Amino acid sequence: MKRVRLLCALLALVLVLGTVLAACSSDEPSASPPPGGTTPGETTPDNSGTPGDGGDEGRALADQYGLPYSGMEAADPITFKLFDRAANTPPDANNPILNIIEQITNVKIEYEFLVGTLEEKMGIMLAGGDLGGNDLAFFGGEAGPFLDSGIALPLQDLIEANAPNLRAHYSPWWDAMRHTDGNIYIAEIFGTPVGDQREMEHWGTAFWLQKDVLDYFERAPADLDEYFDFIYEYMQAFPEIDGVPTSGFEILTEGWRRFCIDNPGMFMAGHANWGPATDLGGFAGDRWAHDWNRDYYKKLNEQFQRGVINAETLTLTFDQYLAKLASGAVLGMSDQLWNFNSGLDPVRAEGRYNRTYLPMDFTFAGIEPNYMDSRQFTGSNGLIIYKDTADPVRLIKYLDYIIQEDVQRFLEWGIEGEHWYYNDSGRMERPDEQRELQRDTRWRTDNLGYFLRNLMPKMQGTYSDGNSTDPGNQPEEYFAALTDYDRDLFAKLGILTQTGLMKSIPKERPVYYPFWSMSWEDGHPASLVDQRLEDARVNYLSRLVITDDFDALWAEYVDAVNAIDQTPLFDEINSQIQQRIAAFGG
Amino acid sequence: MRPRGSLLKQVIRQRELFFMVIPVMIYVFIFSYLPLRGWLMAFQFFRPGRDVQEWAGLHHFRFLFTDPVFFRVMRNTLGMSIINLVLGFSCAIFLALMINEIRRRLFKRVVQTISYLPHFLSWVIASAMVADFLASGGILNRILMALGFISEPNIFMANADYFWWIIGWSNIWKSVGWNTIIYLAAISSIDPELYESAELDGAGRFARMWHITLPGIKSTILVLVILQIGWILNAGFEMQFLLSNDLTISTAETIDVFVIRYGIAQRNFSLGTAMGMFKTVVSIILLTGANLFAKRFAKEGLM
Repeated sequence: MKRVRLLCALLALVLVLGTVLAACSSDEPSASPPPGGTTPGETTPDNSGTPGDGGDEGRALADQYGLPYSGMEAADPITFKLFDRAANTPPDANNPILNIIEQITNVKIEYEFLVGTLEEKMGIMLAGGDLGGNDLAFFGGEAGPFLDSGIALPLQDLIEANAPNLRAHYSPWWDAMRHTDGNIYIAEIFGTPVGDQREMEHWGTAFWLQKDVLDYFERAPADLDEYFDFIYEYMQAFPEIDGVPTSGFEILTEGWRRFCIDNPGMFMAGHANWGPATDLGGFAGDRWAHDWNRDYYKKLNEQFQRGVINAETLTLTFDQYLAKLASGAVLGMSDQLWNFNSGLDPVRAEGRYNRTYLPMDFTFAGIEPNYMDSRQFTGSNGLIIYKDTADPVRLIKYLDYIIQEDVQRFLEWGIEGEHWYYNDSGRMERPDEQRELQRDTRWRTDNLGYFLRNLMPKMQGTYSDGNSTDPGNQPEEYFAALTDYDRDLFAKLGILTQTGLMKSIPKERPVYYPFWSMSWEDGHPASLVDQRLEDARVNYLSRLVITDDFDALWAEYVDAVNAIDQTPLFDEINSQIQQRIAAFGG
Repeated sequence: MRPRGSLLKQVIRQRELFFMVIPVMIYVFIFSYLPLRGWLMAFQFFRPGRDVQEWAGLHHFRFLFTDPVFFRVMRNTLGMSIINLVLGFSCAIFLALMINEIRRRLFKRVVQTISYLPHFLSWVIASAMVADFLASGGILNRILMALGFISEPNIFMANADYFWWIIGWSNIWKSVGWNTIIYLAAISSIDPELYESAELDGAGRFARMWHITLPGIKSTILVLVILQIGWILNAGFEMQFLLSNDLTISTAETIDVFVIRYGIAQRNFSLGTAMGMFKTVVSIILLTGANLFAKRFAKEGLM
């Protein structure tokens, strides 16, 4: 009996210790065993390319699809984990395009998407001193703390030594990519245009109006007042859309997506999307307590009193907002297309094209619209690599492979002869059934490689043969792929493309644009100012929309903003303006 | 004082017990005491990746206690905590008494199971459900409109005055069933002869509840109240974080949400740690205070 008790106690001890030890020992390398479908082959890393050393299968695939060799056909399969700053859904595991690239390079990319808020996720990563178990991470302007804390790997030598294509791609911006300490940490994705920069669609900020409203009035509203009048009259005529109560104007306020309520006033006043401060010609100034904001919120308040805006919109989460758009019963909002586009997938899938939207760029009287940026280097929209990643050379070689023109084309457009073909004049075209299929974003994600291309250094503009890097901006393709509904509506409105109702001309911004891409070290007083300003907006802006005493509440808001000493923020931005001017030479 | 030898003898005599408690002690040491090292961060300008941290003295505590937001946050935390405490205990005890009076076994089981089902939902799901209940087309508005109390849907989530009560009743919905379990267990240990003799003395159902059941579970209630008072600065985090919006933030922001926004989100880990220390100290004071109080006036306590 006694022995049994002793045994039990010992067993409990072993069990508990075992659990504790198991929890502590998790520093295995992130490289994981090969995925199925590849031939590991006899492994001679960094020494391939000659036939007979394995990797014939990969080279055969490359030949078959007109792709360059990667030099990694015979290398050990390796997995890199990539953190994406957005909440996305990954492509299907059977995606043919991505599987071919994986077999040629023997590199598998595993995604981790954002859950919760980015600030929290970054806080957890930084506290752990790594990228949360990922080898590389995509940030859009938030990567600063990783550079200063030594978590990100300096890339310049790696690129110079192993990535000739990437080096050539980056050459116009090479020195501007350097951080204050002289190292390059961020492999820019979105700010490195090549060739012609024509865009057929506007994906940025605008006032969006449901196409059916435009169809109903057969013309576009002239200004914001008429925009709301259209919505109001349409609501009177159709209080319900397919059984759902019609919603006039939606305002999203959740988390970092609150730019939907923060920004429109600034655009109405003719400013570009600067960020936490406004540009006074080379130095930063307050952007929150201006009359232009008052005038915009005043208009929202009037529309609330009139019933165009329902207070419920101010309580919605992003998911609820998308669900509302998916019902087709929302007539308008101020937002950026990339933010809400996925909400329209169900609408498009049902063929209800009249429940999608066209953008408009209203301003206050006498002000020139300024909603469009020409594509421009920001230096902060890109990938950082974890300093202790298992095989940085391999990773850089992979990025170098992806940036090659033929691979870019393969990822975005697909397989020649299946997804697209060259017509007689050397232009790329898609067969009709592909145009039909590719209208469905989900189908594109699962069957083409653009998802990967968007998370790797990429070409934006035109390829060397003059074709657009993506079908959406190839004019012939754009027009050929228009739905019949759009074609008729555009004719009715007298416009050619989705941007037809916008009057802005894409503008070249100063080299220090935008302020939102600037970052500062942890605990910098500028962060506190930023947080205080956000608190003021969180506390007042939504209430301004629904208040019965607008002027009094506005005065309170202005006091709250003025009570915040913004100098640390302005000083930091001003000094970074000077750094950027120095880096770009003015 | 006993001689040293007898302590050692005692240990040897009870060695099986000691063997059994050692794993727990190791566990507590590793997970509850070792991390206390991290409290140093509260006195530093802590930044990850630095070998030597800069000392900050009481900087972060000064920031906390002079920040105007802090007082709003304290008020909200205490407000919601007290609502949770009072509503939570009274509802759970009431429900336990009711369930105890049910004679049919099957019905009792069904009621119990249904009432504690929401406990197993995570707050993420529970708060999405609450948001749906309270939406303009949600079940609550439909019921109120069908009964003729209101003619227009009421947007509950847009009114800062409702927020504390939304949290309070959501907590009840989610946890009341679960919380009854411990009271039911306590009730079942009351000697049935007490009820029988009370019945003979002519005590009715409510008199029996009042004079036998309630006093029978008094010590259980006290222990739970004391423990709960120690947690008073934890009014919850997920619920407020997930359900609040610009319109309700003034009454919704609790200490934990504040720490997320000013500590974690700004990567000011030192501030977060300072707040954690503050909460721990307050908890210890309240816990010992409540315990003393209970000992003095109810002659019962934890320690």
